[in-house]
Order: sequence, then C-alpha cells, then structure tokens
Amino acid sequence: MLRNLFANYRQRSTRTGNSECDRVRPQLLPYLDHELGSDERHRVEDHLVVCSACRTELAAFERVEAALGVAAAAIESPGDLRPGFYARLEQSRRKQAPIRWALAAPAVACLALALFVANHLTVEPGHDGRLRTDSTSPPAAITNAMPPHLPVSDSPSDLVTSKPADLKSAASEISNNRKQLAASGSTPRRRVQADILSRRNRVSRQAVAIAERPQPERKLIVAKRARLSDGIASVSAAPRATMSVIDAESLVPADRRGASYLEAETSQSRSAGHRGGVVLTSLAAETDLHVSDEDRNFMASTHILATAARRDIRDTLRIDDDNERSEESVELPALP
Amino acid sequence: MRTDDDSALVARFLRGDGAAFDALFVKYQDYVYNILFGIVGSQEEARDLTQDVFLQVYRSLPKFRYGARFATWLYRVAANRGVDAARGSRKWRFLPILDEPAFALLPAENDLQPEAVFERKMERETVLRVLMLCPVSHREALVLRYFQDLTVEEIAEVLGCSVAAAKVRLHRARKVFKDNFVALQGNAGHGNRDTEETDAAEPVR
Repeated sequence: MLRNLFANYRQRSTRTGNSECDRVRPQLLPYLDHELGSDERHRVEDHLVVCSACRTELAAFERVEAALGVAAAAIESPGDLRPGFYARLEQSRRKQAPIRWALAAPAVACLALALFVANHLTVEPGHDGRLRTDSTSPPAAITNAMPPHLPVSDSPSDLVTSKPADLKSAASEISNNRKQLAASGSTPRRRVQADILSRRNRVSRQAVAIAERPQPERKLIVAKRARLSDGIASVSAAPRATMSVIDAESLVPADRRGASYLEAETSQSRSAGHRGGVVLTSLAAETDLHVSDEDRNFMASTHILATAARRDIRDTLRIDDDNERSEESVELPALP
Repeated sequence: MRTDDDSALVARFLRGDGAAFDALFVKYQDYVYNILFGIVGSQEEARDLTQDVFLQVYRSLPKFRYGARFATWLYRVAANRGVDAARGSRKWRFLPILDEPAFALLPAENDLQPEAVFERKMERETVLRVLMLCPVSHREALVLRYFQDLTVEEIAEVLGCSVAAAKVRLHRARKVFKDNFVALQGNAGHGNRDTEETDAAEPVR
C-alpha cells in the first residue's frame, strides 16, 4: 500500500483532458474560500452540476478542510510546561553566572587598582627611555594586589631604570632557565611547553601593547604580559617596538608558581603628571591566555583572567632591547 | 487577542516584572505547542521545542519591536524553530511519533459509539500522518492556517513573505495535502506530492 502511495506521489498532474475541468479545478479552492466573483462562482457551480469528477474533487477539499479543523481543535494540551521552562531558564542562568563573575571580578579589581595607580604612580621618560617612578616603593595598591607569598622589591625603580646590559643578562638568564625547564620537564610539562610554543607567534603578535607616545621622546611600550623579576612586574621602554615571547614559568621562581602578573597601561596621556600608568593585575592561576587581536587598548583583559587555569603554565612576553635579538621577535605595528 | 494587552505585558516584563512573562507564557503556550506539534509530529519534541521557543523569547524580548504584534513575532519564532527541527534530525521521518494520545475527544463526541470514536481518532492521526508526508514548508503554512486559524495576511506576516506568496504556498499546500489525504484514506483519486521540496517526506530506506 505504501509503495502504491509513493508511486502516486510522483504523478504531478490530474488533468482529465476536459478543458472545462482544467479551467474549473484551479478555481475550486477559491470557490471554497468564497473568493470568486459572482460570474466566476456561477460558472463553477454550473460546471459542478454536470461534472462528477470535479464534484468529487471539491468534496475531497471540503473533507480535508473539516478534518484539519477538527484535528486542530482536538490536539491534546501538553499540560503546564512552565516548571520545565523555568528549570531550563535557571540552568542557563547558572551556566552563565560563573563566566560573568570570572569576567567581572578581575575587571572590577583592575579598575580600582588602575584608578589608584593613575593617581599615585607617575612615570616620566628618562634619557635612556626607561620609565622612572617618582616613588621609592611600590604603591600600596600594587603591593596589596600581589599575592602575599610574592616578595615585593623595595625599589622597583631599580627595575624600571635598568640599563640595557642588565636587561641582556636578565634575558640570558631567562633563556637559560627555559632551557633547563625544557630539559627537566616531565612529559606533561613538555606537552604544555609545546602548547605554549605553538601559541607564541599568535600570542606575541596579539600582545601588542598600547603605545603612548609623549612627543617627541619615545614610545612607551608596555607588555601585555609581565616580565617578572623577583616577582615584580617591570616595564621597559624601547624606542623600537620589538617583543618576544618566552615561557613565563622560567621567570617565576619555584615557590612563586601560583601567580604571574599581567601588565597593561592606560593609554591616555592626561597631563604632564600622568603620562600613562601601569596596571598590575594578579593572575592567580591562569593559562591559555587568549588575547584579543583587536584589543589594542588593553587594560586588563578579562577574558584572559577568566580562562581556565593550569597552575604550571604561564605565558609571558619579554621586552627586548633594540640590540637584543630573541628567538622569536615580533615587530609591533606602527603607532600613530 | 488584544495586542495592547501583550504590549503591556511585554513592557512590564522589561521593567522587571517576571509575572508578566509568566502571563504571556500561560496565554500562548498551547498556541506555540500546536504549531510545533503540527510541524514536527511528536508530542515530546513539541514540548521541548515549546520551552526552547519561550527561552528564546525570554532572551530576545528586549529586541522586540513594539510596532509588531507580539503574537506574530512569537509564532514566527515558533515556526522557525519547528522548521529547523523538522529539517534537522528528523529528516527521514515520515510518520509522526505518537508516543501518547495526541488528540482528545471533542465535547460533542463524548456520547458517540466506540466505533465512531475510533474512526475519528484514526482520521485525526491520518491528518497528522499526511502532514508529516508534506514538505516542511507546506506543513508550516497548513499549521498556521488550520491550527492557528490565521488569515492569509497574518500567515504572510509570520512567514515574512508577501500576501500573494503566502496565498500561493497555502494553495499548493492544501492541494498536496488533499491528494495525500485522499490517497491515504484509500479513496479514488490520484495521490500527488509536490516534489519541489523533498526535505521532509523521503521514504524510509
């Protein structure tokens, strides 16, 4: 029966060869819907009187109309679907809530810190293009933002005023540390390292900092990820923007592997007393750093902070001196 | 349905009154379910999809344009959801999945003899089977016309097409449905199927 049914479906025409039937059949539905003018309606009715095939066709349409209408009226109610709906609504809210908190909390913390730092930390260009601070100790907000187990240097200005030679030695140390790590690592660590390495180019290209260029001296380049030295994030400015990526873990002593710092800058130059600033953000346990390509004015990327963490993985950027070539370096795009 | 009542409820909901959305849900639940049931042919799936539709509406209400009728917008969301579901995982289904009684007896039928009751139930299930044999786009038009009792103008609004296009689609759908219904009921006459769309009623292989 089904085979016949489907065979019939393939027939596309019910033409009878009778020209009057062929003319009236398309009018049957409009006739049924009372959409025909009086002349057309009479013509159809006159034909129906003499044509049983068309009468049968009309009767079929009428039966279908009735069947559809009755079926529609008889559909069993599904019952009260609200409990299921509200349960799903609640479930979807709960799924979104952790993400919102993860996104919002660091942003709120960073904003508060940024406001404090902007008011208290002034950076001025020096002859060597390095940042200098006018405070001899880190602002309390920065200190407080750091995890308690990370010691705070008494003189961060030492870092920011480091000479190129110091940077070179630091870079060399970093490189050595990395090699040691690479040699030491267990398989999972190596896998993770490989993962970091594979993301380096992308990360480094993405992690281009804001450039604030107080004319005419220099560009202020701030790493999106902190360069760590003794647990303090530092900033170095270079006339030309080259940056490279190394494994942050190599910068973090073993007892401090719970955290790393992320550094960004405020991009607006406000006045002589505020030539940008730095925001230090503590990343409690963070990995898979995803940096927005288009987020050039990066403050403290909440999506970085919100991503799932693996405690032994960090990523960082090392700011290279002009004369220092790293394994991978990226030219920062031209700044306005 | 008074559109100003719906607009008022929407406005209240957007001001934070959750009870307003509840009222909209209660008011339109069965209409949405009927659309979805007619398109997908399964009560369980229609229930799930009904909740999906209201979830979508809940999230999208801030984007609702007050100039449009809420019901029209809601039916469009429901029809689109139903069509997507019908075209998706159920592509090869050509029989409805009636896991429980899909149709109730009408009040006037309560006094009928059992044989007559059985005949009516069979006819309703035939209606659903024939719907499942129709292309999804035809099902959509038929469900809006017969299950929701919308005019051609309203159907055009829901489908997002011109009135003329809606009329043509409905006309074709009714013809195809009639041919299949007659064929399935075993009466004389030729079965016909609009083969322009074959996404819904391919035979099981």
